[in-house]
Amino acid sequence: MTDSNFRTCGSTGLKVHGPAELLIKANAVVSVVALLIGAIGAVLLVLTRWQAVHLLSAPWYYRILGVHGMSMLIFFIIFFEMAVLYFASTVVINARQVMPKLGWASFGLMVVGAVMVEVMMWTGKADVLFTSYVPLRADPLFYLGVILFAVGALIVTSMFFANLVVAKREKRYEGSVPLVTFGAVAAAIIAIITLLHGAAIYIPTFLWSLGLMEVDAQIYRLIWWGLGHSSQQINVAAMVAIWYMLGALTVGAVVINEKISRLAFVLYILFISMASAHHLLVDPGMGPTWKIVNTSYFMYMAVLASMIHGFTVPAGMELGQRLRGFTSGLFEWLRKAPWSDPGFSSLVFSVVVFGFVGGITGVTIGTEQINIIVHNTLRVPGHFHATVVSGTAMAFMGATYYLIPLIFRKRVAFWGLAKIQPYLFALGMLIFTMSMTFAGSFGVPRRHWDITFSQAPFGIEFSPAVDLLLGIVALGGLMAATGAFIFVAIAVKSVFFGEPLGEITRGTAMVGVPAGLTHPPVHSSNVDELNAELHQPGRSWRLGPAPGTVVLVGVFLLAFVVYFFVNWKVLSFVWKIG
Amino acid sequence: MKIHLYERVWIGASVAMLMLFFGSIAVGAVGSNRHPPSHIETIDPTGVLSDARFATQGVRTDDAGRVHAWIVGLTFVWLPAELVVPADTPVTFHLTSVDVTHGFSIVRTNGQTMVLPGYVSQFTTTFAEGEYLIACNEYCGLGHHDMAAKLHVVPPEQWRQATTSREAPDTTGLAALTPEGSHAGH
Ligand code: HEM
Ligand SMILES: [Cu+2]
Ligand SMILES: [Cu+2]
Repeated sequence: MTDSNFRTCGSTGLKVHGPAELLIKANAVVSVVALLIGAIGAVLLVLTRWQAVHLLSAPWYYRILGVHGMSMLIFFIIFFEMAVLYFASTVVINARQVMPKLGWASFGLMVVGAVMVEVMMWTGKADVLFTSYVPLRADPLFYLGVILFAVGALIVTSMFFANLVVAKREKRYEGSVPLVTFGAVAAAIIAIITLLHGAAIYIPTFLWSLGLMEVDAQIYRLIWWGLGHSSQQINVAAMVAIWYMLGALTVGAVVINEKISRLAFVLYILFISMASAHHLLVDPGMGPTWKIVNTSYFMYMAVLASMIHGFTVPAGMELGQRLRGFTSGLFEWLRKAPWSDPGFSSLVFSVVVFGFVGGITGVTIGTEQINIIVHNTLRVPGHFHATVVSGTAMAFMGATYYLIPLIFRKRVAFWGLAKIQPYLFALGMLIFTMSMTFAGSFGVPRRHWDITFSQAPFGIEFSPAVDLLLGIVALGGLMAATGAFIFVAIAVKSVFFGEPLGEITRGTAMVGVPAGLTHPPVHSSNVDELNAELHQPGRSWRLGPAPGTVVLVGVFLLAFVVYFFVNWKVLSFVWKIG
Repeated sequence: MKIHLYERVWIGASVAMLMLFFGSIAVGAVGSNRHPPSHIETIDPTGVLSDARFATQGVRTDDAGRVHAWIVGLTFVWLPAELVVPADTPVTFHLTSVDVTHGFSIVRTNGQTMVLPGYVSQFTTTFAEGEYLIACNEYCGLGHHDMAAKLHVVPPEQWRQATTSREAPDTTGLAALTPEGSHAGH
């Protein structure tokens, strides 16, 4: 392989391998198409859960619920992750793509699998939602589609490792891989574990749907969540890798402690698949010891990892900004940040909503006893739209604003809209997730078409507050969905009809090019001096070199503890035994 | 490995917080024996209605005078569709499904469990007087939202008087499947 297939990126100096670039593009484009389908579904769903509008009929509500879950959580997210894996194992380390043909074959498998699943769902042959709990039965082609998709993803993940090995042998990079790639390695290892669980459950289920074998309902749930939960950890690892990347690109964030950050990624790998237990807390087939060990000890080790990233990422950003000269007070670094760079605003919202809403609610509702008043209420989608949507999807969107110029070599279209898109999406999701969490606190079930129970032989009503809350859920949901549509429009227009990037002149703002590229964040010329000053003991009320972050995470910790114990208090009202 | 002081403080604080949370779980679990339903008991899903445990559904007392509720889930009803139990008295629920997975949830109480074919779910709890909605909270098919039942919690004396007359043959069980039958519990 010659180096003729490489081009050198004008603004970052990275070498981009042609075949890798094409695979990144193809996967990213399909991912955006899935996002569009999912977002249309989202609008229909919020307008149905909003009891005053109640748009869809019951069968279509459940059908679209399945379509939304699959299109978003599986197709949108995983196709994007495939692009991230290609990116992190080639562009980031100047390496080449091995076996691009195999890449296209697996892309083909994944697209065929996804289309089969979508067709089965839209035609009502797979009204089983994305969890497809056995013995609910779908057409065998539905399970086959899932299997084809997963096989494709497994091959891409293996190619990721092959790329790294070849790059090492060809000495494309020096020392150990950069942190972003390290994060992707963590994601890829978890992906292998996840996909093996997927094979262990979907192949028997496919055979079951053909009448060839039996599948136990409890064992299905156990292994399925080994797939379903671990895949969330892929999302978290990929998201955190992107946090580090966007931090460096937008504000010159430093990695304050490479080893600690790497260690935190390793914790994800070691402890995550066990945490799938928190989906099974009110299941009959597992004993209390198993539940406690898996949801506290193992889950908490993974939570600790997120707590570490949740500190090192903003602290790295603060330090980066301070080294650029924004040193006054606690928060000048934050005030003078590039808020109109959509990559930066996406990053901040991703960190904040993931931590404050997703993280706090997740640890709380995953507690063995508290879960009993939470399981399958709207608090659950309230929680995970704060993690995988406001966290992961938001980070992916932010990364896209950089991928468009870096990989597609186009300007970001609708630039004015692009600047406000993260605000719209994040604010919408914040309103959506918080009001959904409140509605769930009244016991409103998720996945439910008619909470007035009009068909029951007696009338039962939720508190009137629920109606109001579901209206607010719809408001926030429509805002976020609008943000998603704007994002799709920007991505499609830029990629297919976008203006070519042209030459970037450093220091001159350009329409459609994020500030991190036109004004690369460089540290002040007296950086060593600044650094020494920042690390002086006793400075800034002894809060260390990143005092603003220390204050912010202090608030976070407080909110965490308060929310957790408020939930115990609420539980004690209903739990009179013992 | 050199770790800055402020990093060490943060990691220490995070660990402390998680230990605190773990402590609260342990106190709840060991101290006051609070657990979600974790009762491992199996049953042949094809023979539920002829199984001695579930052949008649409804509320019964055992020899020791403890109150039990035996409930079967099937798309899209709970058998029986109405239950009457005494207030402030521990009631042990036993549930299973004859078809797909359901979720038994007595809304706004801590009474909830997944109900899986092949397994008997069991939990014990007490209620304050009143009327409660029982919903199915796991998607079980296109009629999932119709799967609801009602729990009446009455003063213990009233309940004891009524049970003597309710020991009559099952009217709340399978009969509830027919349109007329579903109102038999009134
Ligand atoms: C664009 C804004 C979005 C809105 C307004 C939205 C809205 C909703 C609503 C209303 C539900 C149904 C809750 C219920 O009735 O039980 C739902 C479920 C769900 N959403 Fe979203 N969503 C959005 C984006 C996403 C994204 C980006 C993902 C994944 C990455 C996602 C993943 C899911 C999943 C997995 C479910 C559960 C489906 C099920 O219960 O089977 N959503 N969403
Ligand atoms: Cu049900
Ligand atoms: Cu149901």
